Amino acid sequence: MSLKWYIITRILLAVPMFFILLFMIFLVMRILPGDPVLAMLGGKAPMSVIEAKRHELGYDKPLLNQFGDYLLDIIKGDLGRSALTKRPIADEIADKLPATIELTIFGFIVALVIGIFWGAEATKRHGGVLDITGRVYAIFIYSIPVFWLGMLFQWFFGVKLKWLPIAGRISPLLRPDKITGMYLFDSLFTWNMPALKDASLHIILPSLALGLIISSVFLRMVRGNMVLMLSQDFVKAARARGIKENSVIYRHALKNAFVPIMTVMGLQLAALMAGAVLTETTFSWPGIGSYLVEKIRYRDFPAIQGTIAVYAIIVVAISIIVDIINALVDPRVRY
Amino acid sequence: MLLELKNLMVSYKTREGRVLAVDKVSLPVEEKKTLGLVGESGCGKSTLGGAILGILPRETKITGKAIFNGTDLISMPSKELRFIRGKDISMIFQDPMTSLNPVMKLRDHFLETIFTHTKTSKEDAIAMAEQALKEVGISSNRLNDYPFQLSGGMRQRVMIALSLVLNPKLVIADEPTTSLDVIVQAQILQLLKGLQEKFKMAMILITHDLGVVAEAADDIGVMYGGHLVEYAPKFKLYKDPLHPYTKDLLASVPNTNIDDKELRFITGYPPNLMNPPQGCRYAERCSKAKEICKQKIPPDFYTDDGRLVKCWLYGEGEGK
Repeated sequence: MSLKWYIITRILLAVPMFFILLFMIFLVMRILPGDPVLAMLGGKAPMSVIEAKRHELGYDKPLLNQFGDYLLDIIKGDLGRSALTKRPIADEIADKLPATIELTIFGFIVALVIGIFWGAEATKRHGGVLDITGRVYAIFIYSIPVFWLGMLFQWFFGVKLKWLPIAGRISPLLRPDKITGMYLFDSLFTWNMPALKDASLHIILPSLALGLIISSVFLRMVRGNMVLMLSQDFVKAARARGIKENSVIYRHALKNAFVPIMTVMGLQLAALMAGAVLTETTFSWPGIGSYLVEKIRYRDFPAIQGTIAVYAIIVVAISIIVDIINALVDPRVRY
Repeated sequence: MLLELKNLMVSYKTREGRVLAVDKVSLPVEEKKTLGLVGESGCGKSTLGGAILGILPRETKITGKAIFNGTDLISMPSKELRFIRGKDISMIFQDPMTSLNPVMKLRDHFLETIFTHTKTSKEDAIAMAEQALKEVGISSNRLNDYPFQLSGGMRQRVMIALSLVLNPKLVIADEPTTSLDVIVQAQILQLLKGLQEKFKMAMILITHDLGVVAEAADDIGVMYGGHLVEYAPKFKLYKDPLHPYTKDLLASVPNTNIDDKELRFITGYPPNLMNPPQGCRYAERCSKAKEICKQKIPPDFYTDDGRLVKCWLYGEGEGK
């Protein structure tokens, strides 16, 4: 009952948050040096053509009007057309986004499994083998740049051992019919086994590289919060009632440690999407990250702006989801 | 005898060295009776309670015996001891605000405990939980509440219900009323006392509050610096304390019948257990200390009527 209201208010609160984000993106794109129209037409275009283009795109209107137009377009789902390809940006992003989501999901799973289990098991024995190796691992992995780890994997598993492909999402001929755009799910839904196998092999290295880096943050978070929780009275009380040690760790301590962990995980998930830019470039993964890099290279301003807006939407959505999960886990949040 | 402690020793490992928190304590706990364990902060009384249940930190070293119903709990592997905890021996803690898991409903606390120890259907388990809550005066529709929706006194009632739900033979109550205000303290104490009689349990009541033991205990053990310095039936102890520490302690209780200008107190500080004195732990503060008190730890002397006192004043031969 009150959970429902919590969710509703949380979603309503996200609306102004979203507009503020959009306004900031809009403002930054206008303040940045470099004229989008000049970039579009090249420096040698005659002044009259430039003016005409400027008028056509609405760049001669007052800033506030421009923002109004921009908002209206976004609400209609229209992110404008790419200056480079002339295709609608929304369509281009819709093509690329599933690849990034797919990579992020699997990277996140890798980070989650390693971070939570290693972090929780490490606290079972303070100063034990898992505890010490975990701490060393976290520092070591965290200090490695993701592209370097990616290149290391490519060299070792791809070039040296020849076990795994080092670039792309799937072999060109095996592409499954499009449902979600995420090949693993599409090939699973259409029961296309060769495609599933090929896509799985392709995603292992990039998701491992991405996931391992993030796992170090999770591991440290989980370990730190678990140590704190295990010293709480309710943990001692649960032990005194004869509750199994595994239940004490995972049911009592981890569930309580989860609230701060969830918040960081949400932030990390956003960082993961951003980190995907480097991972995607390293592994030639045709996602929204490498799309953004390409558009920045060609100064395709409308496309950059559109992509960042999509990132903003995703970040807002993730923060809503995190808050809802927190409310589900911890009843004190929703009252 | 339900539980017998024999030469129980507990020491903690710290960075600076070992701390002997409980030193050779031997003590009986009779069936259906309440043993009050009193002493000041750091005297080892809570450690003693934790040692019986085996819930002290892993680095703790425990020697000696705690014979419960004929089996020694100290040498029992923790996997077996787990089945005694919460079922045959349960524990009530000092701070009810933090002793319940904040993200679990009360119902799940009960179900988890019941299912850990018995094979019961869910309906029966809920009926047991409702009955236990009824015994402590809490309405059964509270089962779906989270701990934060209850007041401190109510939470302590829930902790009591939780510790009684499987009809244990012994309840260890570690400062059960300390963090509650005086009115709630009295209610909780009466409740505990009533339930103990009703369910025919034994209880170890650990407290620093002499008023609490005076009200609820049958026998009293006085601890000081890790030693059990005196053990006696309640009335004998209050009427005629033997150990100088017990005497000083009772004298320091404010008494409205005596026209004191100031509160009486014991001078000095408790001993540092990291580096304990060679002889009797109380010798430094004791007004009756002799030469031998500072050199040798007194053994447990037993009086003719079965009281225990760890003091050279009551020793035969060399002490006198």
